[in-house]
Amino acid sequence: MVIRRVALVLAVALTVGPAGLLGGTAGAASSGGGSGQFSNLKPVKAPNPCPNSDGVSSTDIKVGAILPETGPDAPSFAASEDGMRARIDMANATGELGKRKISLTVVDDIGDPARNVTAAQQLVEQDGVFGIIENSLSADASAKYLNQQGIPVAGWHLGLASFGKYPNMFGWRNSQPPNPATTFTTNTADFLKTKGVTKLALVGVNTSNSATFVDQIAKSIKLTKSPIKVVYQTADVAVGQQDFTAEAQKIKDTGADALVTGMDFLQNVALSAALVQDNHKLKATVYPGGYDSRVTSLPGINGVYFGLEVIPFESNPPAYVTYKAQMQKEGKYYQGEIPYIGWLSADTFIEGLKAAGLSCPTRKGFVTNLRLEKGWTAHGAFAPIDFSNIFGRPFYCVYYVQVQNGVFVPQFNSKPFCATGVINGNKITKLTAAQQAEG
Amino acid sequence: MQGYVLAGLVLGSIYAISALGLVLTYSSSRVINFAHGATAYTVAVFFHWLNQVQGWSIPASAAISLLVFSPLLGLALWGILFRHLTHSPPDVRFLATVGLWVALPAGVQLAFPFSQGQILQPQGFATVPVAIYHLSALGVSVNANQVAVLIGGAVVVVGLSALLRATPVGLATRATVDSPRTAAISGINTTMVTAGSWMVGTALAGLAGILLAPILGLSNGEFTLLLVASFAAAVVGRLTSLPLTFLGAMAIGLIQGIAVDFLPSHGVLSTGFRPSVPFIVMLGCLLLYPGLRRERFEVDRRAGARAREVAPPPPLRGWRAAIGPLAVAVALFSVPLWLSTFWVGVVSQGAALAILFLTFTIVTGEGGMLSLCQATLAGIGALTTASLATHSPLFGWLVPNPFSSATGWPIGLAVLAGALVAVPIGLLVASLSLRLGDVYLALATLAFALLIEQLVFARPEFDNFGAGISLGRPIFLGINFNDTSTFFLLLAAIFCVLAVLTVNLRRATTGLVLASMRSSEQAAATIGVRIVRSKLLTFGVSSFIAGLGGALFAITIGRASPDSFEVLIGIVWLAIVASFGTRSVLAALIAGLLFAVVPQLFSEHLPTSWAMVPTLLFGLGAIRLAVNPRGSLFDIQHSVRVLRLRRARRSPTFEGQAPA
Repeated sequence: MVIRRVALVLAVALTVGPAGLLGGTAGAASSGGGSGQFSNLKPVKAPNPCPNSDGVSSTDIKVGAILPETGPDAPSFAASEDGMRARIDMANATGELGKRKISLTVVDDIGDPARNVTAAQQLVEQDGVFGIIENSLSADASAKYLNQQGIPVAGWHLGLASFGKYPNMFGWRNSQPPNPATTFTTNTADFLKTKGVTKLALVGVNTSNSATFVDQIAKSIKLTKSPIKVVYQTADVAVGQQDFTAEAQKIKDTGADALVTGMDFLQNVALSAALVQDNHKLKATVYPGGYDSRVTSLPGINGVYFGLEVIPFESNPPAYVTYKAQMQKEGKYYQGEIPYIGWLSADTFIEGLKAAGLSCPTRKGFVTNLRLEKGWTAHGAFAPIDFSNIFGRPFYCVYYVQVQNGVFVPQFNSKPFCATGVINGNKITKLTAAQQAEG
Repeated sequence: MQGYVLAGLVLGSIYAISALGLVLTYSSSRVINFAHGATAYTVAVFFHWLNQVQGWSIPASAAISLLVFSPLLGLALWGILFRHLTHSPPDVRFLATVGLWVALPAGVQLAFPFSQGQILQPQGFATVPVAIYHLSALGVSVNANQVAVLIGGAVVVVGLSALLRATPVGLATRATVDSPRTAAISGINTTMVTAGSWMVGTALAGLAGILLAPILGLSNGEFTLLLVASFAAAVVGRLTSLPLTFLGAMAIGLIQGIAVDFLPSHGVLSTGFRPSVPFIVMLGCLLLYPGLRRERFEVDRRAGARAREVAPPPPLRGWRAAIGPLAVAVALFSVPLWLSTFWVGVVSQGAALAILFLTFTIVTGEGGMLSLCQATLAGIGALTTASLATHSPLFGWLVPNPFSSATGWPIGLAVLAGALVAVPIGLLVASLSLRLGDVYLALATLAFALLIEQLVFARPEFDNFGAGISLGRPIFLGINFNDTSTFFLLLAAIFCVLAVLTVNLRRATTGLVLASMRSSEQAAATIGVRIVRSKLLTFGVSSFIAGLGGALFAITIGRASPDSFEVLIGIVWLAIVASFGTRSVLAALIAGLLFAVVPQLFSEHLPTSWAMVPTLLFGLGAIRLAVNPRGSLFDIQHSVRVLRLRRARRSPTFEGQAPA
C-alpha cells in the first residue's frame, strides 16, 4: 500500500505547484473558460415553506468531511481538519448561518480509492449529510457518485480531474482541466525566465504524475521558445529515495543554474542538502510544496522559491488574519499551509450555503448559485475569481515566496504571477491580459 | 564520476546492512524474515523517540535501543513466533513472518503516534547539523551519516563473518542450523543458540534502522522498499553467503549510482530503470544460478516428507453435506434483505474481494505455492478490463475495437478478456520460477510484481495522473446491475459458482495430485506425478480468478486504479486469508467480507487513533499460523466436528464406527 500511496502524496506537490500551476486549457481559455457551459444557468430560489430535508433541519445542517486522517497520506492532509473545524466553530458561534448550526461528521478514507467511495456513500446514505468538504487525493473515486446524487462538494482540487469535470465539485479557488496531463500553463517556464537562468535541471519521481510534470515543464520551455536549455531531465528517482548524492553530482556536472522538481517535500529537502554538500549553487530553485515554517532553517533551503495558490501569509491577507485569530483562540495555530487549506475549504462550503439561501438551503441551490458567484476571494485569501469562469480549466496565476535568511519573503509584491500561455497537446495559445486577470 | 561511485557505495552499503541481517537470520533459523525491514523500522522509531521526544543523548539512546530494546524485542519475537517456525512447513514460515511484517509497523504506529506524522529530520548517529567532509584528493564530499553507513556496512560484513566462522558461538549456531538433534547431542543448548541468534539478528536490524533513518527517511514505506531491494542482494548470496551478499549489494548500489550519468531523459529507461535494478538482478540470479535447483532439494531434505497434514474429519454425506454450504449461500443471498443499501455496498466490496481471494485458496492452499504476485495479476485483470471497456489509448492501438469506438467493449466481455489476459502472464511467471524452491518462488513472484508495478502500472495510460480508469457496471440479460443490491447478488452468484468449482478441483484427480505434491514433491515425482504440469495448471486457474476478481473489484468501486492492487496490499490480503485458512473457500469469503467490513465498523464507531487496529489484527491472525498452521477457521470446524463425533460415539447407533 505504502509504495504507491506515498507516491500519490506527490500529487500534493503537483497541485500546489506544477500540475496546478502548469494546468491550463487552451481550448477552454480561448473560448472564455467554462463560463459558456453555465451561460443558461439561472439562480435557484430557496423554497418557502422550507421542507427541511437532505440533511437540513430547522436547527442543524449536517455536513460531512472526507480526508485521510490515517495512513501514508495523513501527514499531508490530517491537519486540514483543524482548520475546517475552526471555520465551522466560528460560523456556529457567530450565528453566521442564521438559526441553524453546522454539525460536522469527519470520515477517514485513509487515502484509498475504495475507502473513499465507501466514505462518500456512508455520509450520503447513512448519515444523510447535506454536502461534503473534501481534501483527499482519492476524491476522484467517489466524484461520479456524488455528482449523480447531486451532493455539493467543496475542497482542495489537488490536481484532480473531477474538480474540472463535475459542476457539483468546487475547489476553493481553482478548478482543473478535464485532462490535466495534456493541458497546462507555462507558468513555471515564464517564472524561470524572469530569473535569468540558462540551464535547467528537472528531477522527478518514477510515478506518472511526476514524470508527466517534468515533461510538461520541458515542453513549455520548448514551446515558449525560451532561452533556457534543459540540461538534465530525469524521472527515475524511487518514491522513497532520500539519498541524492548521484543526482546532485549530475546537476553539478551539467552546470545547471536552475532546478525544478516534481518530488515531495522530504525529498526536496534531501536534494537541497546534497547540493549543499557538493557546494553547488543555483540561481533559481522551485519546489512544488513545503510552504511551512519548519522548513526555512533546513540546509540548502535558503533561496528556494515556492509556488502558492493563496496570498502569502507574510503579507497578512484579511482571510489569514481571521484564520490565525480563530486558530489561536482554539489553541491550534502554527504557520503551515494545510490547516489553512481546511479553513478555506470550509469557508467555501459556508459560502455555498449562503448562496443557496440561509432561509432554506437546498443542494441544487448550493450547486447552482455558488457556480454563478463572481468575485470570490474567500474573504481576502486570493485575487477574485468567478466560479463559472474558472471551471474546467487550470489557474493561470500563482503567488511566489522565496526563503531568505530563515524567513519566507513574498515575491512580486504579493501579487500573483500569471502565465503567458496555455498548452494543449502540442499547441500553445497566448493568454491575453484580460484572461490573466481572471486568475 | 567519483560522485556517482560514492552515491553507489552509500546505496550499496545501505542494501548490504539490511541484506546481511536477513542472511544471518536465515542462516541461523532457515526462516526468511520478511519482517526484517519492519524490525529495523521499529528500533529506529524507538531510538528517535528516546532522543527527540524524551531528550536522551545520542549515545544513551543508542545503547538502550541496541543493547536492551532490540535484544528484548528479538527474544519476544522468538518466543511468540520464530521458535515455532524452525520446524514448520515453508508456507507457514513464510506466511507467519508476512503477518509480522503487517502487524509490527501497525503496532509501532499505535504505540508511538508521532511516527504517523512526517518526520523532517530523522535522528541518526550523527549530530545535527550533520558534518560535511570535503575529500579534495578524491574530489567528493561526504556527510557524517554517509560515513556512518559506509563504515557500518564494512564492519557488519567483517564482524558477522568473523562471528559465524571464528567463534564458538558461530560454530554452535552453524551446528544447530545443520542438525539441531546432532547439535543437542553434542551438548549445545540449541534453544539458547537460536534465541541468541534472533536477539543478535534483531539488534543488527536495529543498527541498520538507526544508520539508515537519516538517509532513508523514517517511514514504514521506505523501510519496506529497502527490505525488498535488499532481498536481491541476499539472493546473490544465495541467502547464505555473507561475502557474496555484500558484493551483490554493492554491485546493485553501484549500478544505480553510476547509471545516473548515462540514462536518457525520455522513454521507459529514463523512468523505470534505476528503481528496477534490484528486481532485475534478483530475477536474473534466480533464473540463471545453475545450482539453485539442487539447493532447493538440499534445503528440503532436512525436512524430509512433511508431517502428515491434520486429517480432516470424515466428510458429511447426503443431505447433511449440503446443509453448511446452503446455509452460507442463503445468508449471502439474503444480505440485501437485512442490510441497508450502504452496507450492501460495503459488503459488495467484500464479496468482490472474496472472489479475488479464491486465487490464494487455489495457488497457496491447494497448490502449496507461495506467490506474492496475485494482487498484481488482479491489477492486470482490472486495468485490462477498464482499458477495453473505456477504449483507452493503450488498447486503441493494441487491440482493434470491434464495438462502438465511443463506448469500448461491453463490460461483461471486457471482464472476461481481463481475466484471460492474466492467465498467460501468470503462466509465464510460473514457468520461469516453478522449478525453484518455495522460498525462491516467493521472491521471484515478489520481484515480478514490483517490476510490473514500477514499469507498467506507473505508466500514464493506467495510472492516469493518479486517477486510474473509471468503469461502469454491466447491463446484460436485460438486467441493469447499476443497482447496488442487484450487483451484489451477481457477485454472490459468481463467488458461489467459483467456490463450487474450487471444491470440485480439490476432489478431482488434480486435487489429489496437488495434495500428494504438498506432502512431498520428491515422493510425488517418484510415483509419476507430473509436478510442473500440475503446478502450471494450478497457477493458470489462480491467475484467471485473480484477473476476474480484480476486474470485479474495480467495477464495484467504479474505478480501476493501480493503487488498489499494490504489492503491499496483496501482502495484507494474503495475511488475512492465511489467518483464516488458505484451504477453505469459506475462509476466502470471511476474509473478503472482514477486509471490507471491519475497517468500516472501526471508522464509524471508534476514534481515528484506532484505525491501525484492523491491520494489526490481520497481521496477528497470520502470526498465529505459527502455532495453528491450518488457520483459525479449520480449528473451529475441527473442534465442532470432533465434538459432534464424540457425541455420536456416545450414541449406540454409531457404536464401533472407526474414528477418522
